[in-house]
Amino acid sequence: MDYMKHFKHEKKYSLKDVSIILVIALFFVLVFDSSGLYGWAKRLKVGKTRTFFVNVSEPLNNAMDKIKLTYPRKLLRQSFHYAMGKQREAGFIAASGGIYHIENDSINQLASTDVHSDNTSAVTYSSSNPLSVLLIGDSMMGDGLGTMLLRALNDDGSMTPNRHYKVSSGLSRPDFYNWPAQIRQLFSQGQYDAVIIMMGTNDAQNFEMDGVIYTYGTEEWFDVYRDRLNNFLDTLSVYTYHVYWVGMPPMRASGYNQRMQSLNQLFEQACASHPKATYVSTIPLLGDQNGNYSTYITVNGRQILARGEDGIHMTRAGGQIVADELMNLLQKEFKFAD
Amino acid sequence: MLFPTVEFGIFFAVVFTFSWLLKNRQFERKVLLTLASYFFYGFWDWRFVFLLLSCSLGNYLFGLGLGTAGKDKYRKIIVGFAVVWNLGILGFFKYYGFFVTSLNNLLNRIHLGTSLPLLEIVLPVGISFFTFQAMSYVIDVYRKEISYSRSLLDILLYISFFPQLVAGPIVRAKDFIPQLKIKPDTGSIRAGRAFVLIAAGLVKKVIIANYIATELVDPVFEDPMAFSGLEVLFGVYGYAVQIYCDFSAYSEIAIGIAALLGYYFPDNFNFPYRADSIQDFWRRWHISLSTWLRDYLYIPLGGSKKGKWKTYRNLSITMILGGLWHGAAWNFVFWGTLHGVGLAVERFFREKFFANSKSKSLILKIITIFLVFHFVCIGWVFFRARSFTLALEYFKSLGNLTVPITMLTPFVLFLIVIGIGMHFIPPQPGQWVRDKFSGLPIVVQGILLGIVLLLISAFGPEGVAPFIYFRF
Repeated sequence: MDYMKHFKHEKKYSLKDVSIILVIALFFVLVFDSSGLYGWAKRLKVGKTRTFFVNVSEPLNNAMDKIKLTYPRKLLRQSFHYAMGKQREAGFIAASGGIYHIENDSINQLASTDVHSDNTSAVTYSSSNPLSVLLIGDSMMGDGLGTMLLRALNDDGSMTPNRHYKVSSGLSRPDFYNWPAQIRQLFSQGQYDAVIIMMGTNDAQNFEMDGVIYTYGTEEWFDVYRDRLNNFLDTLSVYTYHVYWVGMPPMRASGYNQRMQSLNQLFEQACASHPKATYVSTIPLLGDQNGNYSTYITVNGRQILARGEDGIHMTRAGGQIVADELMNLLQKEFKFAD
Repeated sequence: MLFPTVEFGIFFAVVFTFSWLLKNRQFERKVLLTLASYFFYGFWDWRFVFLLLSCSLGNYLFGLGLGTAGKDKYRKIIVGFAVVWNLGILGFFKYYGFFVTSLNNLLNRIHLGTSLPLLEIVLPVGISFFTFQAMSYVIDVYRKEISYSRSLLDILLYISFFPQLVAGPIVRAKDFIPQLKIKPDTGSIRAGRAFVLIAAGLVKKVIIANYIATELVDPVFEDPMAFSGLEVLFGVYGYAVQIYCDFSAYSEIAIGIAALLGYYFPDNFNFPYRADSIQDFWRRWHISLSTWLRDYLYIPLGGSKKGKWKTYRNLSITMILGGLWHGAAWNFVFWGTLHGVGLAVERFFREKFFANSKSKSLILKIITIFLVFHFVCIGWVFFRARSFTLALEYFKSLGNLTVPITMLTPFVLFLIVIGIGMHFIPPQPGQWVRDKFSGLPIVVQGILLGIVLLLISAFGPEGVAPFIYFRF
């Protein structure tokens, strides 16, 4: 029996012993890792499953916290992140020039002097006075588009980019990642003349606010999301000269595509009501002749792979097409020395 | 549903409990495990449950046909159909887009404007694994190495068994189906090894592979031109550690989980970076695939029995197709070709210059391990980069001398050193750990397992990336 080669000399356990080991390990985890379990439950998609697990893990975590049994995990985690040079893992994102560390606690301590109150920039940008561009978003900004945009902006010579993205983030779940707060923090650390945003892939989901669950697709959900979007653009409009909101491209899965196109409508409407914002549709750039999803697009007679295996993200080639469009828009909006 | 998640923990707790409650009812137990496996697979995308079912039904019928057909002529036809059926499924879902775009671009280049239609095909998770596993069953029945299975349930469970369904190891029918005939023994579960494998796998995946990926490898491979040459170099070393820790972790957890349910799989890795030749590397890396390719491709092509040039040809063909098995892209083809040519060249030199030498000196062994590791790393660049062009860009970025270092931290360096260093620990410590663990009182074993899970939860990131081999 070849398959038993590595097992035959091992100690044999009875089912009772195996069960005891597993039960003890489970008990140990429930007691000492209750905060981890509670955190996991809170990260689940809003719905009945999440409600169930939150309702189960929250009292357990509170009880363990009261008798200080959650401390070993907290201590281990804090020590580990401290040793890694991190104090809060959520705030660490690879950027073009290094790593940002965001301190949530100082979010409200912002300098109001950095605010761009003018509608347009009168500055002529050049290599000695480059246009600073902030790229923000979810994983869409982290892969093909973000990479090619960073490269294009760096190569231009008269623009200087900084990228800040958070995988799985968006405006739906500020409990996971609070973009408005993060944006204030980013602008407290530096000024940006333009902001390019691409987010929304994770937003078509239920969320909870003030104890009320908002189900995706309902009128109430769209009202709350629209408010968040407008508030986000209001905030950005205070700090920068121009915002480019990159819309979602067509998606492969039809249901998901419908949800993303609904969000696109909200993005477009919100940008239309903000003079400093421009909505950039990616459908003409990455869709087929009818605006539908296409993994491959034809450029100069050659079929190129524009989309990732998941039918959501862009490859670098796809990102390059969108980056070219954004570079054109920046060139038109701002003045550059020849 | 990924292994290192609470969701999988709950799923496994339910399956473990009910499967052992049914220990005296073999049929019901197998039904439960099959349903659980289909649920596990459907968790990714329920539509592909029907694909898995069709693949299993088809291969069951082919096995039945082979078992009952009398003449060799008919058996040959049936096995031919079986291979076409399995490769057809794999080819359609995995390679259609790749071949059509390659052909269209070629036709366009020679000014033949014909364009074959592109279909939007989603790649089902684990398809390469379960089609290869299914093929091994029918081919073994054809070769009369195993007898055909009359039980549809056994075939359904063999092809879908959840621990190894989506990322291997590719378990042979002759290793697994006989286990389904035996009543599970509640008094001889090899749980000590299972627990140690699961714990080691979780540490490798959640801590080592995850952090190396997010802290260095992903950003560097995404845009190597933005990083210093040193980071680009360590990005490759990091990827070598990441892919080993990721893939071997999956195999180890799969083996451990199956063992807790009373089923045993052979090992899939054996310290691959300790290899002192490319041939040795393939005896240690993804063993279930390399032995599959050896038995069902290399040997049928003639193996090493038809002269040296045909041996080199067979090695190259096997590895090119092995590369293509990993992914439908030219970079995978090149990766396979590199290893195939490497194996052929190595064999040529070994036969020409070292035919009489029996063992290597220590220094020569160290040098060859170093060289083989770097050869493998060169291959990993093509394997990891999203395209052939990006792989070349990666090599070019090794010359980035003026870019400041931003990602290479002592922590990442430490993980890389650990990941490579673990290959050079003699095998005895692993056995020692298992023996010590198994020798402890049962309660202490449970507490130790709980401590390991707590440490992984405390040190791990929130959320776990999918295993690399899921996309194959």
